[in-house]
Amino acid sequence: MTPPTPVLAAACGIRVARRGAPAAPVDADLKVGVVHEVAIPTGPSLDARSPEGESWRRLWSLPDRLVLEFVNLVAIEVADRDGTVVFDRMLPPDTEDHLLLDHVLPLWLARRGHIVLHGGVLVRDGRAVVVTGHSGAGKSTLTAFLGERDWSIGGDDAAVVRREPPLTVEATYATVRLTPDAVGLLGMAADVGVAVAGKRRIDPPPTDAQHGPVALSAVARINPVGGSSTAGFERVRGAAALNLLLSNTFHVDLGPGAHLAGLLEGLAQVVESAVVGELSVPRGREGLAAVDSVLTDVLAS
Amino acid sequence: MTAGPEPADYALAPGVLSRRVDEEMVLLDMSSEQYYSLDGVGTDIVMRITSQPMVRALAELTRDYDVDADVLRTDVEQLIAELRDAGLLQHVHRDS
Repeated sequence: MTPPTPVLAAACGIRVARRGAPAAPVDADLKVGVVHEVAIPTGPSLDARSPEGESWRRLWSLPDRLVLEFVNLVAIEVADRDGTVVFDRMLPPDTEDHLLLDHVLPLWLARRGHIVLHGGVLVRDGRAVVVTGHSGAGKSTLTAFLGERDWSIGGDDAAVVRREPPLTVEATYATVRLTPDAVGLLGMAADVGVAVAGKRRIDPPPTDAQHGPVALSAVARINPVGGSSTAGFERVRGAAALNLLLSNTFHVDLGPGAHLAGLLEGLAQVVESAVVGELSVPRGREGLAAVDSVLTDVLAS
Repeated sequence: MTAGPEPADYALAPGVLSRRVDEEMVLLDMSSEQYYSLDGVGTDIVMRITSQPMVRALAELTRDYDVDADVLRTDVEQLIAELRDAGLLQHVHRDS
Protein backbone atom coordinates (compact mmCIF):
# COMPACT_ATOMS: atom_id res chain seq x y z
CA MET A 1 0.00 0.00 0.00
CA THR A 2 1.48 3.33 -1.07
CA PRO A 3 1.58 5.86 1.80
CA PRO A 4 -0.03 9.24 1.12
CA THR A 5 2.27 11.94 -0.14
CA PRO A 6 3.45 14.27 2.63
CA VAL A 7 2.41 17.35 0.70
CA LEU A 8 -0.72 17.35 -1.41
CA ALA A 9 -1.19 19.61 -4.41
CA ALA A 10 -4.71 20.98 -4.12
CA ALA A 11 -6.84 23.42 -6.10
CA CYS A 12 -5.79 27.00 -6.74
CA GLY A 13 -2.15 26.05 -6.35
CA ILE A 14 -2.66 25.33 -2.65
CA ARG A 15 -0.21 22.94 -1.01
CA VAL A 16 -1.41 20.97 2.02
CA ALA A 17 1.24 19.44 4.27
CA ARG A 18 0.05 16.43 6.20
CA ARG A 19 1.29 15.61 9.70
CA GLY A 20 4.94 14.67 9.62
CA ALA A 21 5.71 16.42 6.33
CA PRO A 22 9.23 17.85 6.29
CA ALA A 23 9.36 21.46 7.42
CA ALA A 24 11.78 22.49 4.70
CA PRO A 25 12.02 23.08 1.85
CA VAL A 26 8.23 22.74 1.74
CA ASP A 27 6.35 25.99 2.09
CA ALA A 28 2.78 24.76 2.40
CA ASP A 29 -0.28 26.95 2.58
CA LEU A 30 -1.94 24.61 5.05
CA LYS A 31 0.21 22.49 7.35
CA VAL A 32 -0.74 20.24 10.22
CA GLY A 33 0.97 21.40 13.40
CA VAL A 34 1.60 19.95 16.83
CA VAL A 35 -1.42 18.76 18.77
CA HIS A 36 -2.50 21.20 21.46
CA GLU A 37 -5.60 22.58 23.10
CA VAL A 38 -8.01 24.57 20.94
CA ALA A 39 -10.00 27.34 22.57
CA ILE A 40 -13.66 26.92 21.66
CA PRO A 41 -15.20 30.35 20.99
CA THR A 42 -18.18 31.38 23.06
CA GLY A 43 -19.96 33.26 20.29
CA PRO A 44 -22.62 31.83 17.96
CA SER A 45 -21.49 29.13 15.57
CA LEU A 46 -22.51 28.06 12.10
CA ASP A 47 -23.73 24.51 12.61
CA ALA A 48 -23.98 21.59 10.23
CA ARG A 49 -26.91 19.40 11.17
CA SER A 50 -28.00 15.87 10.46
CA PRO A 51 -31.40 15.22 8.85
CA GLU A 52 -32.62 14.62 12.40
CA GLY A 53 -31.53 18.13 13.36
CA GLU A 54 -28.55 17.22 15.50
CA SER A 55 -25.47 19.40 15.21
CA TRP A 56 -22.46 17.38 14.12
CA ARG A 57 -20.07 20.22 13.25
CA ARG A 58 -19.81 23.73 14.69
CA LEU A 59 -17.86 26.43 12.91
CA TRP A 60 -16.61 29.86 13.94
CA SER A 61 -15.10 32.24 11.44
CA LEU A 62 -13.05 34.61 13.58
CA PRO A 63 -10.94 37.60 12.50
CA ASP A 64 -7.68 35.65 12.67
CA ARG A 65 -8.63 32.00 12.51
CA LEU A 66 -11.18 29.37 11.68
CA VAL A 67 -12.34 27.02 14.43
CA LEU A 68 -14.21 23.79 13.78
CA GLU A 69 -15.59 21.47 16.39
CA PHE A 70 -16.66 18.03 15.25
CA VAL A 71 -19.02 17.14 18.05
CA ASN A 72 -17.66 14.43 20.33
CA LEU A 73 -14.65 13.93 18.08
CA VAL A 74 -12.13 16.76 17.80
CA ALA A 75 -11.65 20.52 17.68
CA ILE A 76 -9.55 22.06 14.95
CA GLU A 77 -8.11 25.54 14.58
CA VAL A 78 -6.71 27.02 11.37
CA ALA A 79 -4.64 30.15 11.78
CA ASP A 80 -4.78 32.81 9.09
CA ARG A 81 -1.26 33.96 9.92
CA ASP A 82 0.57 30.91 8.63
CA GLY A 83 -2.03 28.28 7.71
CA THR A 84 -1.17 26.04 10.64
CA VAL A 85 -3.86 23.45 11.30
CA VAL A 86 -4.06 22.35 14.93
CA PHE A 87 -6.00 19.32 16.10
CA ASP A 88 -6.71 19.21 19.82
CA ARG A 89 -5.96 15.46 19.96
CA MET A 90 -4.34 12.74 17.97
CA LEU A 91 -6.66 10.85 15.67
CA PRO A 92 -6.19 7.77 13.50
CA PRO A 93 -4.26 8.97 10.43
CA ASP A 94 -7.08 8.24 8.01
CA THR A 95 -9.60 10.16 10.12
CA GLU A 96 -7.27 13.14 10.42
CA ASP A 97 -6.63 13.04 6.68
CA HIS A 98 -10.34 12.96 5.95
CA LEU A 99 -11.06 15.95 8.20
CA LEU A 100 -8.09 17.88 6.82
CA LEU A 101 -8.86 17.38 3.13
CA ASP A 102 -12.63 16.99 3.06
CA HIS A 103 -13.59 19.57 5.69
CA VAL A 104 -10.77 21.95 6.58
CA LEU A 105 -9.53 22.47 3.02
CA PRO A 106 -12.86 23.41 1.37
CA LEU A 107 -13.93 25.58 4.30
CA TRP A 108 -10.55 27.31 4.36
CA LEU A 109 -10.86 27.98 0.64
CA ALA A 110 -14.37 29.35 1.18
CA ARG A 111 -13.07 31.60 3.95
CA ARG A 112 -10.57 33.03 1.49
CA GLY A 113 -13.45 34.06 -0.74
CA HIS A 114 -13.51 31.13 -3.13
CA ILE A 115 -16.79 29.61 -4.26
CA VAL A 116 -16.62 25.96 -3.26
CA LEU A 117 -19.43 23.67 -4.37
CA HIS A 118 -20.08 20.40 -2.57
CA GLY A 119 -19.77 18.05 -5.49
CA GLY A 120 -17.68 15.94 -7.80
CA VAL A 121 -16.09 17.18 -10.98
CA LEU A 122 -16.50 15.23 -14.19
CA VAL A 123 -14.86 16.37 -17.41
CA ARG A 124 -15.35 15.46 -21.03
CA ASP A 125 -14.03 17.26 -24.08
CA GLY A 126 -12.66 20.09 -21.98
CA ARG A 127 -15.98 20.87 -20.28
CA ALA A 128 -16.95 20.11 -16.71
CA VAL A 129 -20.08 19.04 -14.91
CA VAL A 130 -20.25 19.35 -11.14
CA VAL A 131 -22.47 16.66 -9.65
CA THR A 132 -23.73 17.78 -6.29
CA GLY A 133 -26.19 16.56 -3.70
CA HIS A 134 -26.62 15.64 -0.05
CA SER A 135 -24.33 13.18 1.66
CA GLY A 136 -25.22 9.70 0.52
CA ALA A 137 -26.91 10.85 -2.68
CA GLY A 138 -24.34 9.02 -4.77
CA LYS A 139 -21.92 11.71 -5.94
CA SER A 140 -18.86 9.54 -5.43
CA THR A 141 -20.43 6.42 -6.91
CA LEU A 142 -21.52 8.27 -10.03
CA THR A 143 -18.15 9.99 -10.31
CA ALA A 144 -16.24 6.72 -10.02
CA PHE A 145 -18.57 4.95 -12.46
CA LEU A 146 -18.27 7.62 -15.12
CA GLY A 147 -14.52 7.80 -14.51
CA GLU A 148 -14.34 4.27 -15.87
CA ARG A 149 -16.01 5.39 -19.08
CA ASP A 150 -15.21 8.42 -21.22
CA TRP A 151 -15.08 10.94 -18.41
CA SER A 152 -12.11 12.30 -16.50
CA ILE A 153 -12.46 12.66 -12.76
CA GLY A 154 -11.44 15.87 -11.07
CA GLY A 155 -12.55 14.80 -7.61
CA ASP A 156 -15.71 13.72 -5.83
CA ASP A 157 -16.40 16.06 -2.94
CA ALA A 158 -15.55 19.73 -3.37
CA ALA A 159 -15.10 21.92 -6.42
CA VAL A 160 -13.71 25.44 -6.59
CA VAL A 161 -15.43 27.74 -9.09
CA ARG A 162 -13.39 30.60 -10.51
CA ARG A 163 -15.46 33.59 -11.49
CA GLU A 164 -13.18 35.19 -14.02
CA PRO A 165 -15.08 34.72 -17.28
CA PRO A 166 -15.37 32.16 -18.64
CA LEU A 167 -16.31 30.30 -15.48
CA THR A 168 -14.00 27.41 -14.65
CA VAL A 169 -14.04 24.72 -11.98
CA GLU A 170 -11.38 22.63 -10.29
CA ALA A 171 -11.73 19.85 -7.73
CA THR A 172 -10.12 20.66 -4.38
CA TYR A 173 -8.00 17.57 -4.87
CA ALA A 174 -8.08 14.51 -7.08
CA THR A 175 -9.66 11.60 -5.29
CA VAL A 176 -12.78 9.48 -4.95
CA ARG A 177 -14.02 8.00 -1.67
CA LEU A 178 -16.41 5.10 -1.98
CA THR A 179 -18.56 3.28 0.53
CA PRO A 180 -18.19 -0.50 0.68
CA ASP A 181 -21.56 -0.83 -1.08
CA ALA A 182 -20.40 1.43 -3.90
CA VAL A 183 -17.17 -0.55 -4.22
CA GLY A 184 -19.24 -3.69 -4.64
CA LEU A 185 -21.65 -2.07 -7.10
CA LEU A 186 -18.75 -0.95 -9.26
CA GLY A 187 -17.20 -4.41 -9.20
CA MET A 188 -14.01 -3.31 -7.45
CA ALA A 189 -11.99 -5.37 -4.99
CA ALA A 190 -13.06 -4.78 -1.41
CA ASP A 191 -9.56 -3.59 -0.46
CA VAL A 192 -9.16 -1.21 -3.39
CA GLY A 193 -7.36 2.04 -2.60
CA VAL A 194 -6.83 3.11 1.00
CA ALA A 195 -9.20 2.93 3.96
CA VAL A 196 -10.29 6.41 5.05
CA ALA A 197 -12.96 6.98 7.69
CA GLY A 198 -15.00 3.93 6.78
CA LYS A 199 -14.66 4.39 3.04
CA ARG A 200 -12.09 3.46 0.39
CA ARG A 201 -10.12 6.38 -1.05
CA ILE A 202 -9.06 5.86 -4.65
CA ASP A 203 -6.75 8.31 -6.35
CA PRO A 204 -7.47 8.51 -10.08
CA PRO A 205 -4.47 7.69 -12.28
CA PRO A 206 -2.63 10.84 -13.30
CA THR A 207 -3.64 10.20 -16.89
CA ASP A 208 -7.29 10.22 -15.90
CA ALA A 209 -7.38 12.88 -13.24
CA GLN A 210 -8.32 16.28 -14.57
CA HIS A 211 -6.12 18.74 -12.71
CA GLY A 212 -6.38 22.45 -13.14
CA PRO A 213 -9.40 24.59 -13.95
CA VAL A 214 -11.80 23.44 -16.67
CA ALA A 215 -14.67 25.35 -18.26
CA LEU A 216 -17.81 24.88 -16.15
CA SER A 217 -20.77 23.88 -18.27
CA ALA A 218 -23.26 22.45 -15.82
CA VAL A 219 -24.12 21.78 -12.22
CA ALA A 220 -26.39 18.80 -11.62
CA ARG A 221 -27.93 17.95 -8.27
CA ILE A 222 -28.37 14.22 -7.84
CA ASN A 223 -31.81 12.93 -6.96
CA PRO A 224 -31.66 9.16 -6.38
CA VAL A 225 -34.69 7.38 -7.80
CA GLY A 226 -35.83 3.78 -7.97
CA GLY A 227 -34.11 1.39 -10.31
CA SER A 228 -37.15 1.22 -12.56
CA SER A 229 -37.29 4.99 -12.98
CA THR A 230 -35.83 6.89 -15.90
CA ALA A 231 -32.60 8.85 -15.77
CA GLY A 232 -33.12 12.45 -16.69
CA PHE A 233 -32.10 16.06 -16.25
CA GLU A 234 -34.51 18.89 -15.56
CA ARG A 235 -33.09 22.35 -15.91
CA VAL A 236 -33.78 24.82 -13.12
CA ARG A 237 -33.57 28.56 -13.61
CA GLY A 238 -33.60 31.81 -11.72
CA ALA A 239 -34.07 31.89 -7.97
CA ALA A 240 -34.61 28.13 -7.77
CA ALA A 241 -31.27 27.52 -9.45
CA LEU A 242 -29.55 29.93 -7.12
CA ASN A 243 -31.12 28.23 -4.13
CA LEU A 244 -29.93 24.85 -5.43
CA LEU A 245 -26.37 26.14 -5.58
CA LEU A 246 -26.52 27.97 -2.25
CA SER A 247 -27.66 24.82 -0.47
CA ASN A 248 -24.75 22.86 -1.96
CA THR A 249 -21.97 25.33 -1.24
CA PHE A 250 -19.37 25.37 1.49
CA HIS A 251 -19.70 28.62 3.38
CA VAL A 252 -18.23 29.83 6.60
CA ASP A 253 -20.20 32.88 7.48
CA LEU A 254 -23.81 33.93 7.33
CA GLY A 255 -23.25 37.24 9.03
CA PRO A 256 -22.97 40.69 7.52
CA GLY A 257 -19.87 41.29 5.49
CA ALA A 258 -18.31 40.87 2.12
CA HIS A 259 -18.13 37.07 2.20
CA LEU A 260 -21.81 36.28 1.79
CA ALA A 261 -22.40 39.09 -0.68
CA GLY A 262 -19.52 37.83 -2.79
CA LEU A 263 -20.80 34.27 -2.59
CA LEU A 264 -24.30 35.28 -3.66
CA GLU A 265 -22.91 37.26 -6.58
CA GLY A 266 -20.62 34.42 -7.64
CA LEU A 267 -23.36 31.81 -7.54
CA ALA A 268 -25.64 34.11 -9.53
CA GLN A 269 -22.94 34.24 -12.18
CA VAL A 270 -22.93 30.44 -12.26
CA VAL A 271 -26.70 30.43 -12.80
CA GLU A 272 -26.34 32.92 -15.61
CA SER A 273 -23.43 31.17 -17.32
CA ALA A 274 -23.93 27.44 -16.78
CA VAL A 275 -26.79 24.96 -16.94
CA VAL A 276 -28.13 24.12 -13.48
CA GLY A 277 -30.61 21.38 -12.83
CA GLU A 278 -31.87 18.24 -11.14
CA LEU A 279 -30.40 14.91 -12.21
CA SER A 280 -32.48 11.79 -11.64
CA VAL A 281 -30.17 8.83 -11.05
CA PRO A 282 -31.81 5.40 -11.01
CA ARG A 283 -30.33 2.83 -8.67
CA GLY A 284 -27.90 0.26 -10.05
CA ARG A 285 -25.33 0.03 -12.80
CA GLU A 286 -27.90 0.37 -15.57
CA GLY A 287 -29.13 3.58 -14.01
CA LEU A 288 -25.61 4.94 -13.82
CA ALA A 289 -25.03 4.02 -17.45
CA ALA A 290 -28.18 5.88 -18.44
CA VAL A 291 -26.94 8.95 -16.61
CA ASP A 292 -23.82 8.86 -18.78
CA SER A 293 -26.00 9.58 -21.81
CA VAL A 294 -28.01 12.22 -19.98
CA LEU A 295 -24.95 14.17 -18.89
CA THR A 296 -23.44 13.87 -22.34
CA ASP A 297 -26.57 15.52 -23.73
CA VAL A 298 -26.41 18.22 -21.05
CA LEU A 299 -22.87 19.08 -22.07
CA ALA A 300 -23.89 19.21 -25.69
CA SER A 301 -26.85 21.54 -25.05
CA MET B 1 -30.16 74.19 -9.13
CA THR B 2 -31.53 70.86 -10.21
CA ALA B 3 -33.48 68.87 -7.63
CA GLY B 4 -32.37 65.27 -7.11
CA PRO B 5 -34.64 62.28 -7.65
CA GLU B 6 -37.43 61.91 -5.13
CA PRO B 7 -36.57 59.34 -2.49
CA ALA B 8 -38.39 56.05 -2.32
CA ASP B 9 -40.81 55.22 0.46
CA TYR B 10 -39.45 51.74 0.98
CA ALA B 11 -36.04 50.11 1.19
CA LEU B 12 -34.66 46.65 1.79
CA ALA B 13 -34.01 46.15 5.48
CA PRO B 14 -30.45 46.31 6.77
CA GLY B 15 -28.78 42.92 6.64
CA VAL B 16 -30.78 41.76 3.63
CA LEU B 17 -28.82 40.83 0.54
CA SER B 18 -30.54 40.86 -2.83
CA ARG B 19 -29.63 39.67 -6.29
CA ARG B 20 -31.59 39.50 -9.49
CA VAL B 21 -31.27 36.27 -11.42
CA ASP B 22 -32.99 36.11 -14.78
CA GLU B 23 -36.36 37.77 -14.14
CA GLU B 24 -36.46 36.83 -10.46
CA MET B 25 -34.97 38.19 -7.27
CA VAL B 26 -33.54 36.39 -4.29
CA LEU B 27 -33.42 37.94 -0.86
CA LEU B 28 -31.14 36.57 1.84
CA ASP B 29 -31.77 37.72 5.38
CA MET B 30 -28.44 37.35 7.10
CA SER B 31 -29.86 37.71 10.59
CA SER B 32 -32.42 34.93 10.25
CA GLU B 33 -30.47 32.93 7.66
CA GLN B 34 -33.69 32.70 5.64
CA TYR B 35 -33.77 32.70 1.85
CA TYR B 36 -36.66 34.19 -0.09
CA SER B 37 -37.40 34.50 -3.77
CA LEU B 38 -39.68 36.74 -5.79
CA ASP B 39 -41.13 35.90 -9.17
CA GLY B 40 -40.91 38.31 -12.07
CA VAL B 41 -43.89 40.44 -11.06
CA GLY B 42 -42.83 40.58 -7.42
CA THR B 43 -39.36 41.55 -8.49
CA ASP B 44 -40.69 44.34 -10.66
CA ILE B 45 -42.81 45.67 -7.81
CA VAL B 46 -39.96 45.65 -5.30
CA MET B 47 -37.58 47.28 -7.75
CA ARG B 48 -40.01 50.09 -8.37
CA ILE B 49 -41.13 50.79 -4.82
CA THR B 50 -37.53 50.88 -3.60
CA SER B 51 -36.39 53.27 -6.30
CA GLN B 52 -39.14 55.91 -6.35
CA PRO B 53 -42.05 57.25 -4.28
CA MET B 54 -44.92 54.86 -3.85
CA VAL B 55 -47.36 57.12 -5.69
CA ARG B 56 -45.22 57.10 -8.81
CA ALA B 57 -44.48 53.40 -8.57
CA LEU B 58 -48.17 52.56 -8.37
CA ALA B 59 -48.97 54.78 -11.34
CA GLU B 60 -46.31 53.13 -13.48
CA LEU B 61 -47.30 49.62 -12.45
CA THR B 62 -50.95 50.32 -13.20
CA ARG B 63 -49.98 51.57 -16.64
CA ASP B 64 -47.55 48.80 -17.47
CA TYR B 65 -49.68 45.91 -16.26
CA ASP B 66 -52.95 47.38 -17.58
CA VAL B 67 -54.90 46.51 -14.45
CA ASP B 68 -57.42 48.28 -12.28
CA ALA B 69 -55.62 50.75 -10.05
CA ASP B 70 -57.38 49.62 -6.88
CA VAL B 71 -56.65 45.97 -7.59
CA LEU B 72 -53.02 46.72 -8.17
CA ARG B 73 -52.73 48.84 -5.03
CA THR B 74 -54.23 46.03 -2.97
CA ASP B 75 -51.80 43.49 -4.44
CA VAL B 76 -48.83 45.77 -3.91
CA GLU B 77 -49.81 46.54 -0.32
CA GLN B 78 -50.20 42.83 0.35
CA LEU B 79 -46.72 42.12 -0.97
CA ILE B 80 -45.30 44.97 1.07
CA ALA B 81 -46.99 43.65 4.20
CA GLU B 82 -45.57 40.17 3.62
CA LEU B 83 -42.08 41.47 3.08
CA ARG B 84 -42.26 43.73 6.13
CA ASP B 85 -43.55 40.88 8.27
CA ALA B 86 -40.59 38.82 7.10
CA GLY B 87 -38.23 41.63 8.05
CA LEU B 88 -37.07 42.10 4.47
CA LEU B 89 -38.52 45.53 3.75
CA GLN B 90 -38.81 48.68 5.77
CA HIS B 91 -40.65 51.95 5.39
CA VAL B 92 -38.34 54.89 5.01
CA HIS B 93 -39.21 57.62 7.47
CA ARG B 94 -38.19 61.10 6.48
CA ASP B 95 -38.31 64.32 8.36
CA SER B 96 -41.03 66.50 6.91
